[in-house]
Amino acid sequence: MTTALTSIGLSHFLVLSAIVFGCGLATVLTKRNAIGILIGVELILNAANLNLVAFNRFSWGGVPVGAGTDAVPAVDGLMFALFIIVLAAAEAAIALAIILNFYNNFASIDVERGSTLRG
Amino acid sequence: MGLSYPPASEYWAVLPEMILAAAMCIILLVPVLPPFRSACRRSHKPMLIIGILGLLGAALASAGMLNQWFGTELPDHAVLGSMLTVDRYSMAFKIVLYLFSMFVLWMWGSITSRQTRTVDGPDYVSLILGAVLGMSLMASASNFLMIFLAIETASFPSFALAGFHKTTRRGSEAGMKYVLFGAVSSAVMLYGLSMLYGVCGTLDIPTVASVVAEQGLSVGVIVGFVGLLIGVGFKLSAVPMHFWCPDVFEAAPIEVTTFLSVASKGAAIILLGRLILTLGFYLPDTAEAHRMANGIATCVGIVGLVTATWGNLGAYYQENIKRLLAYSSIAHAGYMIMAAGLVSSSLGGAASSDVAGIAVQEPLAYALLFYVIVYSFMNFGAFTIAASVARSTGSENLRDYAGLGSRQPVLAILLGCFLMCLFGMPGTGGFLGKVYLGFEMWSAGMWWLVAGLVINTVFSLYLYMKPIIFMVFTKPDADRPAVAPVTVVPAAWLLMFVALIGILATGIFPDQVTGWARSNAALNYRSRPLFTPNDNRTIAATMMTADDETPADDHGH
Repeated sequence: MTTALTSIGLSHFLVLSAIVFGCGLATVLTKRNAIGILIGVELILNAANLNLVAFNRFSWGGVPVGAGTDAVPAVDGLMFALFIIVLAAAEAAIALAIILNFYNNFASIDVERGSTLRG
Repeated sequence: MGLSYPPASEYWAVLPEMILAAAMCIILLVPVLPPFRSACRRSHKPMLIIGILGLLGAALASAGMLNQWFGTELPDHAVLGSMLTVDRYSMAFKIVLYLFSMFVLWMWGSITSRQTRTVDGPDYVSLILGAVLGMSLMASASNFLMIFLAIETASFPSFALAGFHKTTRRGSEAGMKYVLFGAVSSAVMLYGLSMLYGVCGTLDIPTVASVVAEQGLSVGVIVGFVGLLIGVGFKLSAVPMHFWCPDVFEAAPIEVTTFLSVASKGAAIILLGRLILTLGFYLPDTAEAHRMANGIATCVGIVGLVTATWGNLGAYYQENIKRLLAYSSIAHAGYMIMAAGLVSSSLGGAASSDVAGIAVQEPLAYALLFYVIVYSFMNFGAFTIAASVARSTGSENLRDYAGLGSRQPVLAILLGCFLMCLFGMPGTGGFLGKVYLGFEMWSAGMWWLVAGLVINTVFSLYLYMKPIIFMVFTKPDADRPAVAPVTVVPAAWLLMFVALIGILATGIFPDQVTGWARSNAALNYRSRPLFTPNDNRTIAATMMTADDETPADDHGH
């Protein structure tokens, strides 16, 4: 049990986050539904979160060498991940409001329908 | 434990931002207070006055910080947990930004506020102030977390502003395109930043720059830089993140277009300039570093060149003046990006100056600052005229400008002046701005960028001549409905006059403005990074329990 857990290292997380990033990017590029695109964005954001948290855990979370016992461990990556979560919620709120407004005007949330502006 | 709060003196450095935030709160509170409720229902005036006073106050606070009116020097180090670098470079841009936004609000109040319902007035003004707040943070961010927060603070209100005409199809479509592009590019930027954090172990920009200078470009750093370039490039509408720009600029209310075209692009270019200059400052003056600097300058320069060319060529078929000016703003952003990538202009600064927090004069910062100043004047003038014409005729189509030269000769001449300044006619600020940018490229040895700048300027002549040809040489179409005569409100004349003074002061008598920009183009680099990452490698292993036997070398570096 312990060996199985500890054999999971940074690279596993990086590979997973790269896969999630790829899925998100593919979603963004292929979906025509505005909410589908938003879901793709969330996938990319969570890939970034996963990276940050994994790097914080495995690479940069310690205290400086020779620091005293009361030294505070670095939490830069965790802080960044928290901010991303909060901002993603704000972004989703604005995006959903705009998508709702789009729906009111076009009776659809297919982004290809929005073709009034061309050229 | 290790928690510490920043000393009170550091809060002086963010006085302008605090004034803006206070003004936003006041704007949102006043309309619900009983004594002011009916006044706010009747007209936009109370909101407009608070907004303008807030921006003016912020501009005065910035000027005060710059000139030590409050008895406080600009901080010589990054303040508030080393999140913000408040130096002359960012303060000078903030003054330009605040004054420009103030004039935009004034333009809205005097020319186009009829299109906004009075109940929406408070939202509108507070959204603009919020976007300005984000942009001024962009100008002084010195931490990747702060860059992310600042870009989002600037973007979210802009999304709402772009779709402010929410009952129209065009308005909602513009908002949708803007928010989706913005969300995707900021997400990709975050992925890049997370890789940069993984390589460097910190989000502090000077430290990251010194780590990159020490270790060179690895895959993680390149992914990080590309992501960063995508995030900033979205704000700058750099190719290939430019698709939103013409659509949003066409469908957004005209004062929002004015605001976004200058303020958001200006803030992004100031941010990009700071990133590039900081990186160059920490690079050593070696042949290898020169190669790396040249590589980055080439990549960024190509992006800028493609952007400028795209903007100038795309404008050829445009008949809508806002869309035309949107393509012109893509081109101008391209010119600035071409210069902003010149890492070598600050190369080797850290080695030669060893004093922490020293302010370093940067010629590139000067060129960018001057260009942003000129660009804000000329674009503001052109958009003010477009707004005045649209107010009278209800049309933004260039065909309805036919015969304007005889109907409103003064207006036509002014529009001609602003367009020629945008083109870069010698004797106007636009020319001088391009000369300074080109000089920076030349002295960095990038002669092909200079050639691209000149060729693009020649291309762009057609785009700026087009409205003039319509105004002077074209007869009004017989098959089009006759347009109403163009009348201009006195406040609009005043605004145009201000913009005209601006382009004359930067073009014919530039000494004042160039002197001001030159003396303020000084960046604060913290010469000593927060830490050198090699000292800080007690990995999470120390945080783990003893029986958790992760080998310490299990972290991929």
